[in-house]
Amino acid sequence: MHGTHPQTGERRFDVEGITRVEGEGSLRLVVRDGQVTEAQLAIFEAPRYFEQLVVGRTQDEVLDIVARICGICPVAYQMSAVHAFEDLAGITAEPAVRSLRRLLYCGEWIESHALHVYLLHAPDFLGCANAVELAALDRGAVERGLALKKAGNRIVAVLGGRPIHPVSVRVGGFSKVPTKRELQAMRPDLEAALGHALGTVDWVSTFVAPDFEREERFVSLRHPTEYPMSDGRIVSSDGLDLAPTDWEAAFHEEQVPWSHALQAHMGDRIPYLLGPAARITLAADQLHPLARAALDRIGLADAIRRNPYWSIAARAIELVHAVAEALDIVDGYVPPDRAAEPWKPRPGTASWATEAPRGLLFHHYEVDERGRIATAKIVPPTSQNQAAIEADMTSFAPAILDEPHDVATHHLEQLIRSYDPCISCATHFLDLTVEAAR
Amino acid sequence: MTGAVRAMIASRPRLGIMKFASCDGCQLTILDLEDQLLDLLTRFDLVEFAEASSYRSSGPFDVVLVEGSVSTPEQAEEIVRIRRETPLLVTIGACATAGGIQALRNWADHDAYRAAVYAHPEYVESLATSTPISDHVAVDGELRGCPIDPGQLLELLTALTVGRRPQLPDESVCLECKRRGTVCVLVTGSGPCLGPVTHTGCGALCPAYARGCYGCFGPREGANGASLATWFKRDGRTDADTARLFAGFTAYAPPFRSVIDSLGGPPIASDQGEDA
Amino acid sequence: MTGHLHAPTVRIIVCGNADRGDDGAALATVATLLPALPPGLQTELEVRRCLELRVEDLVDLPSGVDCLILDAVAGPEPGQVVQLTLAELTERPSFTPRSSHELPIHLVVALAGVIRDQPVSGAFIGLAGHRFGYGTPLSRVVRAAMPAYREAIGAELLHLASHHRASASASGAEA
Repeated sequence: MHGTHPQTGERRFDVEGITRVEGEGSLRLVVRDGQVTEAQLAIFEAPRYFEQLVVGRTQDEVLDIVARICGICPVAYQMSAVHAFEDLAGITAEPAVRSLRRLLYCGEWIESHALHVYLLHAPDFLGCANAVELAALDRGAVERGLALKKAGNRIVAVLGGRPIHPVSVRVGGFSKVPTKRELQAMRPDLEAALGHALGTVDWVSTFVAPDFEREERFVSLRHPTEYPMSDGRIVSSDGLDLAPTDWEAAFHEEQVPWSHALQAHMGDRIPYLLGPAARITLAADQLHPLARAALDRIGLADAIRRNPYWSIAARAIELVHAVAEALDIVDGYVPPDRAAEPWKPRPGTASWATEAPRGLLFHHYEVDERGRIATAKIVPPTSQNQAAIEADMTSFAPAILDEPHDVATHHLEQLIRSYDPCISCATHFLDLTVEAAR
Repeated sequence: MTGAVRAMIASRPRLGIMKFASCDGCQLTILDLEDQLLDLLTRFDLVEFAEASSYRSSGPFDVVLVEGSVSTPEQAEEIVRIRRETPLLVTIGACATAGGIQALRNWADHDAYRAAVYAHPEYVESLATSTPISDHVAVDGELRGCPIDPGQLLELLTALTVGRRPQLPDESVCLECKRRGTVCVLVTGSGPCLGPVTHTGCGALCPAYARGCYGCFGPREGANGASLATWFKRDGRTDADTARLFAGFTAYAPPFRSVIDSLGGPPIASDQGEDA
Repeated sequence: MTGHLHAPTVRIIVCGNADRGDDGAALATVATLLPALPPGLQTELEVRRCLELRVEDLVDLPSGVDCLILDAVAGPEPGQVVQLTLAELTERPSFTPRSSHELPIHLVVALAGVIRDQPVSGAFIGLAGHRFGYGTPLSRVVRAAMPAYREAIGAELLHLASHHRASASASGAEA
């Protein structure tokens, strides 16, 4: 219900649903004298159940469990965990296994980005209320997105057993690795997907984005020779440089008063943003040449950095990268001698950060003398992004307050969608309230 | 579903019933079944054999039902030959189940059991050296039971001939492994596996990827979790470790829950409260 | 029994997450429903389970096959059974099916209809719950409502199946 409250002069913006964000949550803005004094974003359900569930389990069991934290990015949770455990055990997966893990991650990036670009975000740019209207307007576009999604799902299914909750990731490697032929069988799909990915870049480059720019602090992994996925150092756009195990040296979680969620902050409490825009800004030089060329061709690197709406282009570029890298890995694949390295559990601290589709995902485990988990901390990218989203809401709100109410509401929804927030397998609507107090 | 099977649907399939095991009970059951399956069987050209030699002279067939297990080298050769020339091979009868042979060996260790359960204890010895059909060839379907349920046989044959997955109640992951030709991970030692007590539906995915089932689809009806837990403990596991194997995502389901409770509870007390 | 053999005419899609309390209501109900169905009806069904409903789960539905989607829902009084045709569902229901993750279920159904050039026909039957937290068992009110839910599903299955038989015999064709 919106309108102006007769006594207080409050202006309320009640959005019935950010229907295309994955999950549910709420955003409350309080506006006073044209200034947003408070932005309270409660959209994330922290995986605390899982942090408890893994206690007492073996490390391989943890991999099965954390895969279920997110239906869209299970590989990310497995990768952060498995690297943490291997770091503690002092083992390194052999190069062929490492390649397979990157391939698996490519599959997830492809599927997640294709979903978001085509079914969640693009409709906004084309005046469509949802993906169904987009399909009625441009059927071929939606089919392209679904084909990309299918290609990504197929990679995860071949390597991991099924497109969600993969079963084959183990400490030391995989329970089973594919044959060269099994991977080659994906090649035609991937070649078609590369065409679709490049088409996606061209398509989104024609979009018109709202004119909203701000300076952002970005954080991602960075690696000297590859586009960041599971390896590298944690860097920021203003000088941070940490080992992937050392996230806690610069970041911490704290409880916010208006919800039970945890938010992550750096020491100076300046918000930071993770995800495709961060990776493009901090590591574009490591993109696959095809992706790099596409980025240069559309000339949107600056726009990606300054305008959150242009994250759609960042995802499109990463689609090209992921498909191109997947093809390279498939072509160069020689099955490893062993699917997994043998390892012995050791007590101690196991921690690591990898790049989920939505950004840096950090895990920290304390492991006891029997190799079982004593405590766990899992910090997903969306919970880290919340402070930055709130800050952007604060900057953005004045520009829309003079607009008709439903237009303003739509713009706020669209801004939130630009961050591709993932709400951990909860469902449905974002309840948006903007209160203007005099 | 192969092209051969699809072609079969258009015509009148030849159905052969082959008996390997020598237990009389199953023979009678199948004879009884013929009455109940009359309608369905009008769709098939049914030939039934007691002897392998008769089969050889009338084969090959589109669908072969094989009862029981392989207990001689000749039978081992025979089943391989049948598999090669039969698009659809279905095993029927209790002896063909995964783990059945191990259980029998187990009983064979106990004289009391042998005498009580088997009128002819020496028969147990011969079965203890016999192997399920599925140890020799991949099978397309499997019906357990002693005797098998005629409704399930009807469902299985109908499903196989029209090309859809049979909807059989009480179906464990083990049956899917057999259909896929996956080697049992409990046998290969790839780790503990909840397949025998877990309801199928995933296509027996995890064993196909060389690791044990961890119970995603929950316990099947009539799951004997306590028995499986006993097997896990035989590998030297503590009660607590064994309980942990059942205390996965479907831990609350009664068959798993009672196993966990009997072994001293799950590793930690779960958070009973709701998240927002 | 007619001995009439044909491909499945109804695809049942059972949605839900058994880890999340009432979210697993449809899964639990179907586990007891299927074995109790008349054998003739069982032969007409294809059953799929989905953690979350995606467009891919519906796009390959063969023409002429109906789809029955089952899921826990939030919104109505817990224990209430809600039932709509899929056409009505795409108009955006007043309740919230729980198993959306990528898109709300009503959009998944609508989008699948667009992609396959034919609306997905069938029904949605949901059971309203209220306890969806991780690690919680089914709530008492939902467990008490499961028999009614099962009955509603069974009745709809019979309806959908007989509908097919009627049209098949009316056209004089063997499917």
